[in-house]
Amino acid sequence: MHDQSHTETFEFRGNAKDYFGIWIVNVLLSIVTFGIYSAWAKVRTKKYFYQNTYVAGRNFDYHATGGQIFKGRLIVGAALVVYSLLATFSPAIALILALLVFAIGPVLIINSAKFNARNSSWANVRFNFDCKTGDAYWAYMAMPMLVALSLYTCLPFLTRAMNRFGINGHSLGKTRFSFESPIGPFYKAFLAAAVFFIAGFVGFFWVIFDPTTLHPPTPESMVLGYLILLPAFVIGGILYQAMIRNHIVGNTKLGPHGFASTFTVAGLFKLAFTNLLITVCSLGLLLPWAQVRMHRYFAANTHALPDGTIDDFHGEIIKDQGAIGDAYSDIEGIDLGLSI
Amino acid sequence: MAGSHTTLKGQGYYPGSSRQFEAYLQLDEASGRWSFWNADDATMVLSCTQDQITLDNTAGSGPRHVHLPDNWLFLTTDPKLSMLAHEPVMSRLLRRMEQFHPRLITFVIATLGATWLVWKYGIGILVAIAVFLTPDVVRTSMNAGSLKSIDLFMAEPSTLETTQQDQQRRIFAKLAAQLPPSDQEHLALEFREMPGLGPNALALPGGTIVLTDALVTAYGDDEDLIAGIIGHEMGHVIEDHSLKQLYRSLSVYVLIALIAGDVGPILEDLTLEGQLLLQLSFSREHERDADAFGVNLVSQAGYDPHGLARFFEEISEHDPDNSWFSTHPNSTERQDAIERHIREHMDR
Repeated sequence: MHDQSHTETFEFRGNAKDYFGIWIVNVLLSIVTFGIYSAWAKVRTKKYFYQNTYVAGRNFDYHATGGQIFKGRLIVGAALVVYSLLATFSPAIALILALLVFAIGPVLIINSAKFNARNSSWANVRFNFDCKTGDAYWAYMAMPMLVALSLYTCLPFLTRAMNRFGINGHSLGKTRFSFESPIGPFYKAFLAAAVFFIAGFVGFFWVIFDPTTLHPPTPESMVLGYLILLPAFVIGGILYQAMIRNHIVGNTKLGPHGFASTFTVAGLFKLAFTNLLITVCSLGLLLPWAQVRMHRYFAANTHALPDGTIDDFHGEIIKDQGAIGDAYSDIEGIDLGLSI
Repeated sequence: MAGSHTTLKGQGYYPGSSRQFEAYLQLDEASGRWSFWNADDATMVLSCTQDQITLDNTAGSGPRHVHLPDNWLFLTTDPKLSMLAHEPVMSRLLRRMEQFHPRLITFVIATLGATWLVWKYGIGILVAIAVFLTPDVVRTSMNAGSLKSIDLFMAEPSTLETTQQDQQRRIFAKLAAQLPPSDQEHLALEFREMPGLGPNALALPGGTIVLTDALVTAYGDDEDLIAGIIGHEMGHVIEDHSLKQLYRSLSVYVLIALIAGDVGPILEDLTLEGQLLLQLSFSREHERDADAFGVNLVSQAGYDPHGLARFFEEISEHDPDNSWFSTHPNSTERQDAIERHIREHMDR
């Protein structure tokens, strides 16, 4: 047993050479089995990334089985097919069904979070997720509507609400995560990004509409305009993500232990840009390398600040959940939307 | 008396706890029993039989996780573990295939080939199975639903004279008589005033064919042309084109979601857009098939198959510029294809 009061940086010990084989076998078997193997492929991918991520000398693990994920997907797939057929029968029934699914959205999100948490562990201790259902409806239904009504000026409140909900619901064994923060830093990030977005738009319109002559835009000026608009948007978006992530991780605690994040706009931009080049130039074949690079950057810029021993995490041995919420978010692409 | 035993060094964890210690797992070859030792204080934690330990399905290199009774955990990088713990052959084979090795190039080529094959044939097979399994009641309900939607949003009751309608119904009946009775019972003819569509015709999934008033007014006296159009629409019904298109887009979407889920967001978007373009080319193929079906059917019934080609010649001036984004092939193309079909399959 040893006390640690220094920084423990996360480490990703995997590499593209190892992962490429796993990835290509996953894709080949998934195609050959018409997608059935993809449930097992997802588990293998997660296992590789989890088991090769270390902090304080101990690694993570993922425990779901391909069978669980497959069953969940079957159910969701069957429901989607039934829905599509019903939609051609009677658009009215289809509309009601769609509204029903929308209404239980937050419950599916909770289900998915629970499934993923309980099937993940660090140093032999399982994570868990539990929360009040009402909180989920507030964060994922009420708040988004309010934000839309405010014409997105209240977006920072939504980001904070989702992260508060997600982080405070998780625990490692019996120790809870916690996140609390004033709204100020969220608006700071929002305004910093907005500066770039507005500058981008101003530059764009300035270039395509010459104010002295008011000529209509020419193809050359459109291209120049996009060359100004696109980078401005990308940098603004990255700036927002980096500032938010650094702030949230820095204010997250696990019991007495703290965390820190050292993302930079330059670092993220370089990573995203080179990954895009790698993927496009290889027609997607070097995608596994891009994924490994991303994980390495995330790990190297995430730090744990232990305060006291890390030997005393422990939890109950939890029974596994069903995977329907997880399968639905898989196919429809929804998740907690946490900025970590 | 010390029997021979093999020792695997690694780390151990207390049950459900993050407390770690140096540990080793020992197999007594004579009895086949495993014993788990705490190396920090040289005490034995537990002893168990082969079937009480569970090997984790690790992917790639890195420590293997061994789950022991009572939730003790042991991690080791010792490769001897695989054979000693009797790891199942399939699991060992899978890990072997995933290793970095020149044979991965074969896998890449196989993947590219498999993707192409699925695109070309696999989806067609899936769709054919789905269509085969679909009960008739689905088609009749889709038919009724579509007709109601059309009447609600796009059509007014027909303003044609009864005599005009009867003329077309005679052509319809003559063509239907050429088909097997089981196909005939679903076919029905309707007339509607549909302002946005001009001279046109629709085939609904259950067998209802709709002619627009504009079509009958403009070409009603050209019996061969009308026969060609009705024959084309009957082709859509007999070959189940609506159902096939629906299932195809469903299966492509689900397949992309499942496989591309692993491939990453950028590629996923690109493939979804690509899927839309493929859908359009598939529907254009259906239009060409219906043209061929129509030409054969009208010829059987005694009409002049050039009638349909005449129709496309007339409307070709209304075509959009680029047929890539259209659900229908270019009219001049269709006219040429029909003339070619007649030359090759009939002596006219």
